[in-house]
Amino acid sequence: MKLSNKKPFPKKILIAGGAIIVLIAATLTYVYALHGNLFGWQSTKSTPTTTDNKINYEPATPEQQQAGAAVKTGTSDTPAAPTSTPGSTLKNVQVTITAPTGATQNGSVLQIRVLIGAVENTGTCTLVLTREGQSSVTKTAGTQALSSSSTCQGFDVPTSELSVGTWQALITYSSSTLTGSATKSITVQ
Amino acid sequence: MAAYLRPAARNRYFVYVALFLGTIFTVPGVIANIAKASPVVGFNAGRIIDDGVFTNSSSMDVGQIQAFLNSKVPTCDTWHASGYGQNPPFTCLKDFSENGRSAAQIIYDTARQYRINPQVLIVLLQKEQGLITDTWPLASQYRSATGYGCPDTAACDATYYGFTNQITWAAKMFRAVLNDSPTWYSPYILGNNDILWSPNRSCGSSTVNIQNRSTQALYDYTPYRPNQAALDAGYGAGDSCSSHGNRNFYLYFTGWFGSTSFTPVTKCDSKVAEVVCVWSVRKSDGSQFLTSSETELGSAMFSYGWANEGIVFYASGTQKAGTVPIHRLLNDGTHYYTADQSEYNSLLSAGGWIDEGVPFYVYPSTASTNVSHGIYRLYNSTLKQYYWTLDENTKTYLMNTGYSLEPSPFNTFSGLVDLALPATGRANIYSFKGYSGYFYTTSFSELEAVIKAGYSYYGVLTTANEADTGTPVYRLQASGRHLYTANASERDIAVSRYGYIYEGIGFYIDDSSAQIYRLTNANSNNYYYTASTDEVMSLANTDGWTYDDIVVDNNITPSPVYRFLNLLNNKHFYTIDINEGSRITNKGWKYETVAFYADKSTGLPVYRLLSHDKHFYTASTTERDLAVSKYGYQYEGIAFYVSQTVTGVPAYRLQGGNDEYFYTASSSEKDVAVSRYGYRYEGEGFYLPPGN
Repeated sequence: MKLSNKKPFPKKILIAGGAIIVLIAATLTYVYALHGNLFGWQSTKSTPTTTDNKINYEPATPEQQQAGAAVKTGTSDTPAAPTSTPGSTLKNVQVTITAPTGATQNGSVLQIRVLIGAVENTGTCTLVLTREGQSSVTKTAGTQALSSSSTCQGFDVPTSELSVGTWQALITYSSSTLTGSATKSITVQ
Repeated sequence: MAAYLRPAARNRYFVYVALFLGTIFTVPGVIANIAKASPVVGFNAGRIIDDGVFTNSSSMDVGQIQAFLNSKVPTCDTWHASGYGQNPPFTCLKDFSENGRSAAQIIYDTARQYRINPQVLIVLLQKEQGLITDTWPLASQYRSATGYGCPDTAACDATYYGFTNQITWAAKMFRAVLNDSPTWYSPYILGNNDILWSPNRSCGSSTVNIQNRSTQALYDYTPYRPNQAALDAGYGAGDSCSSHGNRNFYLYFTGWFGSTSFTPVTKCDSKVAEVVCVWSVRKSDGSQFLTSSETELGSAMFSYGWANEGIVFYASGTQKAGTVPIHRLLNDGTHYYTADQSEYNSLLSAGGWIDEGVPFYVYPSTASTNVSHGIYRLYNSTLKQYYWTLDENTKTYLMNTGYSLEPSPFNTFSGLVDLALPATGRANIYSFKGYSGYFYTTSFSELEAVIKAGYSYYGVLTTANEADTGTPVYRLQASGRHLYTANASERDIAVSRYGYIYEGIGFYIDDSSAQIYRLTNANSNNYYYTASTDEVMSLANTDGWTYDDIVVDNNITPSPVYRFLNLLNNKHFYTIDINEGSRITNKGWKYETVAFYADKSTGLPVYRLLSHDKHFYTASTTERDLAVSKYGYQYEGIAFYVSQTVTGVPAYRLQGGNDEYFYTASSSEKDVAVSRYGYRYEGEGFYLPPGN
């Protein structure tokens, strides 16, 4: 058995070397983080940029690039896909009554506004306002496609057609492929 | 013991030091990567962006837009590996063009056309498709560049395909909402709305008090409000109920172009010397304070901390004819303004009101809306506060938030154009040059709307009948070009054959109006109208312009006789026919001036004869016949008609050294022609009718 004459590499040096490597790595990370404005305690303001009427001509930040990449293959915030309705060829679409809220009323006009979660301009909106002991009020309107949704082409209801108090509004949307509805309590002043 | 450590202990020491150093340097870095998602600061869900910023269509020119696109993608990854089913090469937005126009040019043109800030369109391209920062964008990102009409829920509608088409539809929609267009329906109102947190309806909704049309337009585009998790996440994801579109719009805009808040002016921008600006200042208690004094405005802002809401209307600083003083009164912190003397007296006598003087003068509410605007006064009975405004959107917002509209208390001026008040019963026809053509209106509201849209004011064309009697002139529009005609059949053909939209009667012309001449431009397919025949003659046959017609022929007599100089032989020619004159002007003939005025159909005829290249005019039949029989002239017909009698202003006849005949009604011009240019005076050729 041949004994090695080499002296074992001192553990002390090994450990010290490891510490130095860790230190260098940590320093580099720190400099990178500092330079990239990544610490929470750093100002979120970017360094002064070339300004021309407050136009920022600096390259996009990583966050802006990432947010941009997130929408690369589709628009964000798009409505949920319509769901199938059992026993029907029509699919359900989200319908939301956006206005009025509370007692909002423009003078003598009750403005009822609707958001339809699909882009269509061939459907029909039907508004039915009911109140116990009162005759119901029914209105119909077409629809208008927006950028990522649609809305009813109405409804501005003269309050002269309604008694003061709380009414139930039912909006029904229907097209050749979609259907949906929404209800809301509305206060007439 | 303390000075000596065993090897194992020493090893541990080094390990601990290393771990400690590693920890203090690396952990913050890791944490920082989490903490870098700085929460969104300053996002106001009811007022994401001010109208003044959203509609600032001149914020960037084409060069700046191009430089901006270049800066965001310094190097395009043209040969990126295939992805999402598309092979390289990939074209970055800075290099993209469609139908010969660069992306920057398309953004600029669309912004100008729809009066939208191009920065809004840039941010839209980024928030919807990431096109501004993408180094290898796909064809589908250009095809649906603004995400218009292309949701995940259904196949994209080809109606909206294409980069230009996408930007145009987005800008068109924004403009329709801003204008509160009666043919564009919005799912939201100014005031309180229920707005979903995200497309996931189970996340619920919240009430958002939408305060302006720009914010309404953004919600029309992306109908969700970012929740707190989304706002806390900066550009990050947030939680399962977070939506990002409107948050990212705000983040990109503020990151790239500065604040979304509009800074109201503190200096008066009136272009009319006697007209002053009236600022609206919102006091700490929410009530309104009006002032026309820049000093008072500064004091209100900096001493009291009240908010400058900008110039709300214009008024006169001094009492002009037809104006009335506005009295400013103060009662327990509430200001009130009245032009009604009896109301002023009764308030003072009722007690509690302090008279603060007359800050400005206005027209009474009965004044014509052709020279002034009716102001809106609104009152909130709960808050017991008044608000005065000219702005339709502010009025609508206030009416949706508890204010009621009261009778208009007074009318206000325009500070933007020369007032040039017409005589009683008349209405000024104001003229403008817009982006797509020339525009004429008698409406004060329309006047200021187009000036604010960037149209150039060209002055008053002439006056119309304010009472809507006379000959109606119809206004039609196609692609921003306006056509004015008094001819009903021309109006109908323009609609049925050429796609014009009939906009109604523009104004009424009568005998007190000047003649309006129409020119057309073959290059730009535009129309221009003028009451100046000099302008007709100087413009016709230049840069594509040709004279077209008189809009309403008032048969004004006497009519101008136009004088031209033949640039080849320096001989003069005279005609009363504007059609003939406009055909030759700037085409070898130089229009010089109106020589004199004559009649077109009655009086003593003046005959026109031509010999080679010179014209001869005479009222004598003998001379006419002799010129034909003896001197070889060709008789061309009656040029115009003059006075039957030897009275009135004479037209002097001279013969030049080049053998030409020269006629003038000016004795001084006659003398100069003789003394300086060697003309031979032949006597008074004929006598001109009254009106010369």
